Amino acid sequence: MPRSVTPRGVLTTAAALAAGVVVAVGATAGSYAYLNSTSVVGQAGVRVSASTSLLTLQRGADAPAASIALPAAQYRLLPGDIVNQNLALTHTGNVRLLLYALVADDGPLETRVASGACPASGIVAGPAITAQGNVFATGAPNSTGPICLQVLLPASAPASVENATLSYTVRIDAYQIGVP
Amino acid sequence: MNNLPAPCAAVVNLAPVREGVVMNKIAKSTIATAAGVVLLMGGAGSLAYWNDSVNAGPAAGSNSITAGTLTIAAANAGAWTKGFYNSAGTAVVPPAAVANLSAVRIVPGDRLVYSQTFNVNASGDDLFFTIGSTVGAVTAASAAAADTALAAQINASAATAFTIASVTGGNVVPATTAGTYRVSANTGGPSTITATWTLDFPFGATPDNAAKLGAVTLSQGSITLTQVAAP
Repeated sequence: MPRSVTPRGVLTTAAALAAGVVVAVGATAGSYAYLNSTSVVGQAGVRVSASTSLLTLQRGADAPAASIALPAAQYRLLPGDIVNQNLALTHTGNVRLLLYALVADDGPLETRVASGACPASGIVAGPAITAQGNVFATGAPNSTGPICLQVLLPASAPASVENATLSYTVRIDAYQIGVP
Repeated sequence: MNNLPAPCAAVVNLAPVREGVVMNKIAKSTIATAAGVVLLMGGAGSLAYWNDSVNAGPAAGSNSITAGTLTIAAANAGAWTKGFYNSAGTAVVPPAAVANLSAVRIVPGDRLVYSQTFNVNASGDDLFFTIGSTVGAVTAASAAAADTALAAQINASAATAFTIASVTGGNVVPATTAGTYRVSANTGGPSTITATWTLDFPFGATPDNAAKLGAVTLSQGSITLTQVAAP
């Protein structure tokens, strides 16, 4: 009579085989993981550039420049005389400006700067400019406009200025304002 | 009558044995013979054993397992707007779309805002995940002083920021732990996330012309979804 193989023996064998298979798979599968996903934000190669703010003056047909010199012979004044000089002010930049005119040490003269062309006669509106500066206009972004430089020797000028020569500089300053 | 030979008689002198022994011998002879037969049979074929089997596991039609997923991908290319703000941070010119960023020339007060939307596809009975991000950087386009100044002024602004909004819509909902999300159902996606990048060139109280004509470059940020083990 052959030895009977019990069901227990059969199951044991099958389990051993199964375990052997599981062990083999686990050993070769690698490390465990978790899920994740990434996406880039933004566009590639983006460049952002700043603007500028630059003022130039032009007298007649002369080339625009940051600084111009007015001919002295034009300004031989007698008390009460007014001399006007039409200029073009150009602003390059994406900002809106507040324009100031300043003058340092113009002696007995009264110097005025105003937006627009000089009048055929009379004094332009606004006070004489000072060393602290006077606002005379706003400048739009990337714009060109006429301005008037007016010099007056008051009738009350003292006799001591007769035949005197006075050199001074009128400066135009611009400040960006918070309204474009 | 002829004289017949005497009947032959064989006389076998048997050794006197007990009856059982004789039986055992017989039995032994028989067993041996049977064993011999058995042995002969074993050599001639294979032995057998009983077995039986049944199918284990779910029946056909319900025996497939499907994994969930967790992905994020851009839903659009993103877009820029530009507005103008005074020193108090109040919008003087409302933000408007920028058609071509490369043509823009910013000035103090300008604020550029980039917005991009992303789709989140998530499914998983026990899926919990967090949302992380890396910030895009604003760097000087070159070593030129104007470029360096522009980058510095933009990065110094409190309004310059890279933000990731909360995920909305679809099947993603907040989980128990703050900052952790789960799915309310394994269908119903995608959910969306909006990334916003604000670049502020602030309008200050004092003149600073160092950044005129400067330029900066922008590097991309990222959004990452990461599965976590706790809700």
